[in-house]
Amino acid sequence: MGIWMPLGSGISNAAGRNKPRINAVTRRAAAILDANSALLLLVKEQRCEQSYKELFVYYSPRICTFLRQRGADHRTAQDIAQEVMVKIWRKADQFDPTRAKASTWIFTITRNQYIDNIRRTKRYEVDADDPLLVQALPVSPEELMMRQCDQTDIAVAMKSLPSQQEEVLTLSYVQGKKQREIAEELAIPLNTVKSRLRLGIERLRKAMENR
Amino acid sequence: MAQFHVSQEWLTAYATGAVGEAASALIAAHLTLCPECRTEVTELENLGGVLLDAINPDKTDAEQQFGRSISANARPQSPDTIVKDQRLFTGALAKIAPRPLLEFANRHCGSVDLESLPWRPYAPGVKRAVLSNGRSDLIARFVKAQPGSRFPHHDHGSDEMTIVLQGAYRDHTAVYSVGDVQSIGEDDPHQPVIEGDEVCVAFVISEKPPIPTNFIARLAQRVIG
Repeated sequence: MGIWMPLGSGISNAAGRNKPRINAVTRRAAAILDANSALLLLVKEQRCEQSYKELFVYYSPRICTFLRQRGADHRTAQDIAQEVMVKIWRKADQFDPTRAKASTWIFTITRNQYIDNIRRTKRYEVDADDPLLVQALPVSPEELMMRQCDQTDIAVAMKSLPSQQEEVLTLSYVQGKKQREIAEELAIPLNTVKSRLRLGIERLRKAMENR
Repeated sequence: MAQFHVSQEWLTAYATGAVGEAASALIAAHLTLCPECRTEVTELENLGGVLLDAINPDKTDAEQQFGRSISANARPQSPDTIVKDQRLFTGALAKIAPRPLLEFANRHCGSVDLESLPWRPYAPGVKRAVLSNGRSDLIARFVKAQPGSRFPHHDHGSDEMTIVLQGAYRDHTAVYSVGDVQSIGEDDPHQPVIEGDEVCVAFVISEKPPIPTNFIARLAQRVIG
């Protein structure tokens, strides 16, 4: 279970879940969602196969390439990508567009499948039902949706990053390398990796704040 | 509310999937207790999504694969139901440890009862229960220390991370209480002393066990284990 799951009242109330009717909040969300999140919402709300197919054609090759960059061979990458796509279909009702964009949600599923299949290690995540969970101060659904919109700006800001920062961010995220490994690969000190990563992330965050 | 947090380096490693099992248990425990760090991880995951979208994919015949997949697997199915073993979540440890640590303890010593962890004496008033994940990537342990007790002054052979689950301790850097995480680097000796009148319980991970700086303590550790 991931931390994108609704902790309080999300848009997925029990009444709406089984009906192919899209409620008002969802409709408002869809109006400002990126295309892929809107498609995923259609899969969630209506089990729409055409929307799922569009997501499949878009994400399946990307996931494959992502895994190959992380060192998986072609066959393994295809198998894992396939498993991820099946999970997207099966778990679509857990997708909450007020908490995460489709790309974020699919990134976390891919990451976890990669950990299961390749690193063969167990990963622990926050349990939304944990009685010890310390709740964040409440944020309105509207504000959460606005935050999701920020990601389009991150994508734009990524392109404006100095190439050294972009390189370190890409090695860290796309290739899943530890900071020590990045330092070795680029033959630069660990502290330089840390500072480039930090500067890159700070810069992206500023881009979001200054929207 | 936690005052000391998981470092940016570890949060990034957690969000990208580069951490080992014990570190992920400790980090998920801190995230349970710290909404700020949860938000941070969510932002880092958003970035992962942006980078996934930005990939220039290899050429594949996705349409054809889709045809194969939808006939084999992807017909509508009832959603996966997550069955949680509620027995895991009762007992003394459950009152102080977030669920990721309960699952970790259950997986590696079959117990989530605070009293029946494999406790062994470490120093006067201090006990440790070592939980190995069966591989050498990280070792993890619970530590339980009586009020007023102090740890042997020790150095660290590798990075070490501690999360406090009950009570508090003090060293030369600060006082650490429930939810706080202390990260200690290699060659960074310290001597924690229990603060307050409550038994202190903490969960600690490191790549190697801490090395006592004091020769006698080192010998004692070898004898006591």
